[in-house]
Amino acid sequence: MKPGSDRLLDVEELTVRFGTEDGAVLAVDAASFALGPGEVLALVGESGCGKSVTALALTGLLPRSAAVSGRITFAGRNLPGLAERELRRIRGRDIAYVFQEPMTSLNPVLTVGRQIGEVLRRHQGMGGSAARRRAAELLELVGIPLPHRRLGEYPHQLSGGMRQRVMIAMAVACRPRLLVADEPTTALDVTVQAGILDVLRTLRAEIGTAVLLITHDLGVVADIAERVVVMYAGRTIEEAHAEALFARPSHPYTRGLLDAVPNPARHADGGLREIPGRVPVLATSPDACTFADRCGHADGVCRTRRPAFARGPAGHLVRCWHPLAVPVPP
Amino acid sequence: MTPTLEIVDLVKHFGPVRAVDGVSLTVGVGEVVGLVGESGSGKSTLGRCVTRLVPVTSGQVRIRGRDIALLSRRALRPLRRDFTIVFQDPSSSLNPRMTVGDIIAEPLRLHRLGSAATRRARVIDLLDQVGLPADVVRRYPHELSGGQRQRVSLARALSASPSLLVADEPTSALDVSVQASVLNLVGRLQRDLGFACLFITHDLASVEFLAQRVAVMYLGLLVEIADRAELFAAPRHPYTQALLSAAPIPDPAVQRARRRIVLSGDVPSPVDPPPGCRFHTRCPVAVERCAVDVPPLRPVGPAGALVACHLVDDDGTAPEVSAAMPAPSLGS
Ligand SMILES: Nc1ncnc2c1ncn2[C@@H]1O[C@H](COP(=O)(O)OP(=O)(O)OP(=O)(O)O)[C@@H](O)[C@H]1O
Ligand SMILES: Nc1ncnc2c1ncn2[C@@H]1O[C@H](COP(=O)(O)OP(=O)(O)OP(=O)(O)O)[C@@H](O)[C@H]1O
Ligand SMILES: [Mg+2]
Ligand SMILES: [Mg+2]
Repeated sequence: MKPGSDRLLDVEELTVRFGTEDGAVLAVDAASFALGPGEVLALVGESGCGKSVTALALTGLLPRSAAVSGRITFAGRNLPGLAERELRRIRGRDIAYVFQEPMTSLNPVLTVGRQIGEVLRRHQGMGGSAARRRAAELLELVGIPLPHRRLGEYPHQLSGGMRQRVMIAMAVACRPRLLVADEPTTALDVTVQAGILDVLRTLRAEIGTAVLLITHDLGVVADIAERVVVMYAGRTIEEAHAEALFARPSHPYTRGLLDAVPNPARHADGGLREIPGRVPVLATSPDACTFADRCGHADGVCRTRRPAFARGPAGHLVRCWHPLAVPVPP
Repeated sequence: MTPTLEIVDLVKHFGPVRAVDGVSLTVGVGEVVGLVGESGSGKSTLGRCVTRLVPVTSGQVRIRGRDIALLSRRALRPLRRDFTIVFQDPSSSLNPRMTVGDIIAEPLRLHRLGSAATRRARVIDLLDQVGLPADVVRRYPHELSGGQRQRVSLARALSASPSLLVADEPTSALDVSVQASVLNLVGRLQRDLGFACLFITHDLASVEFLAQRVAVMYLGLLVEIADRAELFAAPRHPYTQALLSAAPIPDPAVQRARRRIVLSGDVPSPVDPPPGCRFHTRCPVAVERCAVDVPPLRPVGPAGALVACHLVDDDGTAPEVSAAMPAPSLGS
């Protein structure tokens, strides 16, 4: 988003370290990004790069073994400075979460209606028939047919796609200003996935909810995200409008990620492109580019100096000593 | 030539669940057939029946001409080396207490193929083929990355030189970049070793990359089988059309201008599938007849495609299913 415009969420230099038996893990390394009201921002990157940890850190959901530093400003308030009681109020009411596996987040012994009703009671003090009516409205909003019948059903009676919709219905019950969706469609087939993405679009249009969408599916990103933040080994390494990122990736890692996606137009010339090597798990933040070992453009500077998050040749933010010099179209 | 795999009218019911309800499909020698379709349509169940991991209710599974569908476990044992399966999650299918070397050699040992020395040599050879360094033989699965583990499961599946490999979502648990390397590997091994492959996935792009033919499944039945190029260029069954239209293209400029066929209505249950065409309850172009008559999977068009739809003509002309811009859905 443009600097200076009012921000809903502003994450600055977020750092998360875990103490584990095998030593420290630097899961998030001074990550910075911001989200405007009603904006859909995608956070992408390979497994283990710190996407989920970033999402959980926002509202203090990480275990005690995590040491968190940095600034997280939400609607003008510094979240890490708030008491747990206050955070709990923000969670669910202002910031809602949806995770990949709805079955583990839904209570198997309560009906869908009871579970949505509970959220409405807790956060909005709504009860009885008003809650029931609102619950049915919410199911309808997320595209579940016959909502009144579904309210009386248990999670196991629903398909995976419907369970995920119920999760979203619960998440938006209080009209949150920010929805954090961590791989919300990964377990679903493409027709169901497309329906869930429609639901996110609807929420944005109807309630003005901003969405932080975590995914590694670049097709999903292309479908719905306005802006994209790419993470690598805990660092945010590129940030741009979706169109610009796909058309003119500036970081060699982003380029590699885009090239690895199967693309029929390229199949003929010798298979899919791979990125050799793997994402490092780091204990401390090196004075180097963390992608240098896998990068075809890396030189001495990359191995000895930390690149800053700077404006790249295509006008978007990139953390690279040798950003790809793609000409900006007229 | 006898096809490597010939599935004839295969049925698999789990109690009242009609998971696979009469499927016929052939995979030729050295051919890769992609199997796609809705979640819960029976793809994995079909793969597990073919490799006899679950008992078959009825029908035939001919592997190089020999029907194994109803063979006893005992009669099956010596034949098992000829067909293998790899799964989505390599960490749950590899024994965590065995070294990589032992895991890969296990099928050879079980089938008493070669001496200990030739088996060791074969393991090194297989590691090389799947692109892993020889020193991983002494490592344990948890010491490897997801992509490396999937390479180990491929090496193991291919160790006894099977003529058929069933791959059930082999790349779904992997990162895009690792996915690319595993897909490249499967493609290369398949060309080099010439095994036939039933490749199950919900990732249409990888099917387009790897498969020569594609079969589409809906609620326990195949609704379309066609050559890859034909299927992707001109899908005929309305469900296939919907499926392809819903797969997002990783390019915002293209994706955002695209229209999609929106399927409304509930996904029906395999316990109580709809009468007539099983897709008619959600089909945007269904007519009265579709709710009554079961459409057979029949040849249409000049190139030998098979489609189960009353609305597709014998010459291959398919109904046009209108697509919409993905408007915010406000329920049905
Ligand atoms: N509770 C924890 N204790 C120790 N390390 C952790 C913990 N949670 C996460 N990590 C580590 O932090 C790093 C970032 O993990 P995270 O779950 O954020 O990755 P991710 O980008 O969400 O990956 P994926 O795409 O696989 O979900 C990883 O190296 C992970 O192993
Ligand atoms: N062991 C089992 N017992 C009872 N029902 C089962 C069993 N295994 C599968 N089913 C049911 O059979 C149907 C087909 O499932 P299957 O796993 O084959 O689908 P799939 O096409 O592989 O789906 P996905 O794309 O989600 O992997 C589903 O309704 C499923 O719930
Ligand atoms: Mg994650
Ligand atoms: Mg399956």
